[in-house]
Amino acid sequence: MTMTLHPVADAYLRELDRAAQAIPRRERAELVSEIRAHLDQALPAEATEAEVRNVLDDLGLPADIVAAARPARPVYSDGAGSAPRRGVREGFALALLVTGFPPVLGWLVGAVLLVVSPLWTGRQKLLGLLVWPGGLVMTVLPLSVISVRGGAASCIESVGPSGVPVGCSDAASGGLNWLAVVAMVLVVVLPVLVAAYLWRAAGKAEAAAA
Amino acid sequence: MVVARDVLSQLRRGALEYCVLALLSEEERYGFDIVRTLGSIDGMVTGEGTLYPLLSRLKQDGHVATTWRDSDAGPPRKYYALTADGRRALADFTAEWRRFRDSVDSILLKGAI
Repeated sequence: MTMTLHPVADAYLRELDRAAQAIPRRERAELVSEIRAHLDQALPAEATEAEVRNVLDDLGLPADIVAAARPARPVYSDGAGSAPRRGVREGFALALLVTGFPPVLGWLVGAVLLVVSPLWTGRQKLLGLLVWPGGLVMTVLPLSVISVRGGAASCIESVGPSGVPVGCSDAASGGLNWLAVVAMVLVVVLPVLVAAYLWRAAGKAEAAAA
Repeated sequence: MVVARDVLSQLRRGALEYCVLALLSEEERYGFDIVRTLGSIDGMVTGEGTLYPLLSRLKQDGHVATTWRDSDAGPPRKYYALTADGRRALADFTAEWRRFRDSVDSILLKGAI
């Protein structure tokens, strides 16, 4: 451009560029250069900081400018041009993915809801799909069966030759159950953490689009 | 009050693009000129910066066309001019707006008496 900008104006343009990350690259570059040209025209060559701040105040917040650029995006064309909201669809998507109930169908419906929501990025959707293929129903059930069977088996083995049980082998069954408990905690805690993260991410995307 | 503000900002957003078209009905103008003119009208624009995305949307919709022209001071400027489509859209909106405004006024003012 023709002149060097005041550092405050420069910082504003950088913030605008950062805020505009979500819009297509060509539009983003055009928007930033339009605002830069606006600043060039609005400010005298040796602008004071107060002059710069007044011009920036009139322009408004970078986030608001970016929000005004959004309705043109085809992603949001479904809700009659309105910004997407985090709601029943996102809630159901996460609940069904985490629980996976009813088996198979619940997870599949959750996966579809996750994929069609405009509030998550491709990477977040992938994360949601990878963490619990099948949901808790598919992972917790087999694990609890294994731990119960493991305990029973070690008890049967320790039945004495006379047919009288001599007690379960504490070391064997305890070790197996402990592993199963750790696995179950991981299997339960991890999906819940990811669900909480995705719920927050959808809220942020909603706020950014509003 | 929050509801009233929401409604007003929706109304403003909807009407604003036709105000831009109206501004261009007499002559072509460059972006900064449009933004400053609308920005100086009370209650018209909340943030001047939001007009630039609006201008590029009007161009995408084919309601305005742009041309770069050299300027006496500084770099070339992008001028916006109304297209035939834009002129038609403006005429439609103007007619509908009058009808809408009169209807709302007739009810609001009756309610006030």
